Amino acid sequence: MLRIEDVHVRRGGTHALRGISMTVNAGEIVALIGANGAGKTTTLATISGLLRPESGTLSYARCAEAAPIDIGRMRAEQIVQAGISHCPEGRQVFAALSVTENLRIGAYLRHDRAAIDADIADLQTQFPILRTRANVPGDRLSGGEQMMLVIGRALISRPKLLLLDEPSLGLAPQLVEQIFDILERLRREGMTILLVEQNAAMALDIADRAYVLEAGKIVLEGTGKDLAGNADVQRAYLGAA
Amino acid sequence: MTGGTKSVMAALTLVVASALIYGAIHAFDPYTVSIIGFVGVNIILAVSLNITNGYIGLFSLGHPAFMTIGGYLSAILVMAPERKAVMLKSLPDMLVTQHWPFLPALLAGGLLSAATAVIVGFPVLRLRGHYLAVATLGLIFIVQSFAVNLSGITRGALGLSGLSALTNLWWVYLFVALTIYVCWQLKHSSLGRTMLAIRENELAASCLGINVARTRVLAFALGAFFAGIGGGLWVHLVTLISPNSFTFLMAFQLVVMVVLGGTGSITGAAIVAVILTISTEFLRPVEEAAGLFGASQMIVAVVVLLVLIFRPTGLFGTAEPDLFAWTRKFTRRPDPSHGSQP
Repeated sequence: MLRIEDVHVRRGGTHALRGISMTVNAGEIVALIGANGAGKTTTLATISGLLRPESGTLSYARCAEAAPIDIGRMRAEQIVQAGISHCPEGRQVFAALSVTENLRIGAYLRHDRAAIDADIADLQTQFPILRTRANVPGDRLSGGEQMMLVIGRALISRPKLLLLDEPSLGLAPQLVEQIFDILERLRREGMTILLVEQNAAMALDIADRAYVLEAGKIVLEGTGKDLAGNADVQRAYLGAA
Repeated sequence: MTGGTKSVMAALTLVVASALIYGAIHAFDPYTVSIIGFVGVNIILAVSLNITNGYIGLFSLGHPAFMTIGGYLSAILVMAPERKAVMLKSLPDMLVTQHWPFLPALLAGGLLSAATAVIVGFPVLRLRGHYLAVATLGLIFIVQSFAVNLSGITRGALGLSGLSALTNLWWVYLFVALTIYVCWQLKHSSLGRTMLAIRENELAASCLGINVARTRVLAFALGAFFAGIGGGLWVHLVTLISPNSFTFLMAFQLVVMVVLGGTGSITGAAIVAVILTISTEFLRPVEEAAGLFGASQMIVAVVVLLVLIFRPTGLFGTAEPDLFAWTRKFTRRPDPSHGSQP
């Protein structure tokens, strides 16, 4: 579904990505783990068109039948239209807008009003807090509620590929479990997810495959289980002695 | 309110407004009439500056530059060809022969300002916060030095004097109504909401598929359009335009109106524009009598500081208070759910 080859990205003065290659297959949860500053957020921002790659190719196919398109030169709004939805780091809800208004903004590029309403109702069933707190301003929600809102807002654009940047950031362990349950449910429903996480243990636990990023390069890749069992990964990211 | 009563109300407003303008022109002396004119022009400027500084959160100081552009173009277009041939030596023949009526000349001034904003906007709007403010401040000086140095077209530092006094209260308040209408519709349209979304959270906005760069340029150009018209109205009210007609001091004055009114509030910007314009005029004799020149500016500065400390969102924030709520007391129909109990 998504194939990245030898992508270099410079961000300000730093050479943030130094030739990374990775693939995401349809229906997978792929985790991208690594230390602070390794380039995880940069990778997502490059895929979603917020940053331009200096070189390398990013090709994306909406579904198995569709011909792959080069998204490396597309603008962010075209990439959203193509079916990639990016939940940026730190949740980024519209603080002054209500929950429902936040959801509606997620449908910015859609114009089928009735279907949008139906999708919102559907999300409210999946995430009950989106209904019980429908008219509450975004900044009055707790961190976990905001995270659900942001995932819901990303889903309203009907993406095929969801890019999630640190969904566990600043959430209590119980809430993190809840968020990861949601991700597993989305996968069962056929969503493809590229997940960036600091919480490597949980990410590897849920991921089909995973990549380890270090100083702008991919140093390891494998199935989630393999990497969780890898001694280097255990030492560096899972806190094993 | 049904469609019928709505159009009745609109017609009524039009009649009352026309009667007020007619009355003002005939009842007041020319000095007072010109102050009422400045009030209107300032409303146009403050409300349109609100599109950039309020809706989309771009702190622009560029309005005087656009006023200068709009002012010069409209002045040149309405000037008699014989005068132009004598005064403006290197004006292209194409422009010398033009002798336009006031309205199209104003619109042309607005369009040229908007076009300038688009060209300037693409590089400049990449900047944020005070960097953008400084860049737009620079724009004022660039336009000013063009006006000084293109002396064959603008008469340089002398400026164009003795312009016909074409601006009257009808024109001014026609454009006040138009500016407020457009800004109001914009604010409550999906484009306006897009602008507010960019202001509130640019990262989230672009992740959701909003074309941030294009929307920014659009907002900047729209503000510049009305600034250009405001400039055209202004110069034909004072019958003079020179490179120093609209300086950065004017930019600050307009920003004060937006900040005090509430960034994003049309009502706030308009009300503060009225209050500030009138009070500066009326404080002038007081200043003279007391020998305290510039006291009113100091008062304004103190007021701005106090507002920023105690009410940083300005008078109304982004909201539009219902100023006519009290009229409904008289028009409200008896509520059928009450009153008819046995």
